[in-house]
Amino acid sequence: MNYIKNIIKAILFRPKLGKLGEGSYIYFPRQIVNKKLIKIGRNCRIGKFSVFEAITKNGAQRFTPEIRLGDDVYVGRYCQIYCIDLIHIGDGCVLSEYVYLSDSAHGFDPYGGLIMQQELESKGPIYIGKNTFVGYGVSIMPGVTLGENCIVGTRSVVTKSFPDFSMIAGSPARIIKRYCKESKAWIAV
Amino acid sequence: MRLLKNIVKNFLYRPRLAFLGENSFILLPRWVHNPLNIVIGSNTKVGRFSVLHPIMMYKNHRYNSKIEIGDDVYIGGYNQIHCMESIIIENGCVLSEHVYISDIAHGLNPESGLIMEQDLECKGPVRIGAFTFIGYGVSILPSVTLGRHCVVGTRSVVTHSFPDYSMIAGSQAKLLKRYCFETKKWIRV
Repeated sequence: MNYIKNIIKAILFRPKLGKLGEGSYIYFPRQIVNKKLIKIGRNCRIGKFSVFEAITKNGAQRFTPEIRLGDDVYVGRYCQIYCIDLIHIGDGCVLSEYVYLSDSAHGFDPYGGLIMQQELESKGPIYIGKNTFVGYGVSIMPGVTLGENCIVGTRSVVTKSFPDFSMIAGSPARIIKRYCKESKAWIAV
Repeated sequence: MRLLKNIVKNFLYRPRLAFLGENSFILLPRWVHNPLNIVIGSNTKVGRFSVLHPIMMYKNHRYNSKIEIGDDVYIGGYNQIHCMESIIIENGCVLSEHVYISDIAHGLNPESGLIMEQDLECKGPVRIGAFTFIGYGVSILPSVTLGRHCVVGTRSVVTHSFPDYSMIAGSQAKLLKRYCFETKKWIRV
């Protein structure tokens, strides 16, 4: 029974991506644009209603995007990832539900006509270090680098980068605690 | 015609819970996990795409979780209620869409490996008093007790408890107004 279940799971929940490691599943319904540019490691689980968009062209513009997920990553339901440059999520990260990551920005020239017809702009790739926890409903903005073992609180908007072992929250996100390796506790900053 | 509609409605929108009062519905699609740990009173409506998730088992630990929703409650679509101890929503509450209520925290010790392999941690039950209104996209974090007749503004993140008759908003939520019984108005604090 388990064997049959695994076969069905492998048929349904393993789309053909650029790379999809063993034991990784992306559940239905899902929306993946440009599958070849998405690379996912081993033992990842990605929840229902996820949106992965590697945008290669916008009008006359051409991009070479890449979305990379490491091993043992968990991504909750309704996550949205839009990429025109690079989004890297390290090994062992946990992303909760309704997480939004984007490294693109619309052009906002008031004299440039319609916003949707202006050029997209990348404000830098997003790197998320190993074993980072990203809470429910968090938005991560372009050009952000989060270190290893960070914790991002619920509904935060992360607009700038933070080092390893930091606990951040708020909109815009600020550092609230740091992990102290000597006392093995999170200490308020 | 109406009779037929009611029969179809009863058939589709009344899952088997521990208790589901008269005239209460949970619309489809829905993800109701462990339905025997959920109690819902009468005349309660729960919207589409809702997730009610009392956890019973996680990493070989058993939990005695319970979600209790009172009478005449309205819960909008896309809400997520995750629970490992108890979440109580009292009579007459109105929760708008995209509301997130949880009393769970992942184990976030940087020195004990993958986050998903660590035990969950409960930081205290959540209780929402009668006739409270909760706005769009609000998150309610563990160990919060809201009093009666509170109003929570859009996209707030409620991190600690508030007494009866308070109007709160922001990330993290702060007290904005209190109801004055003499003037019968909400008065800025």
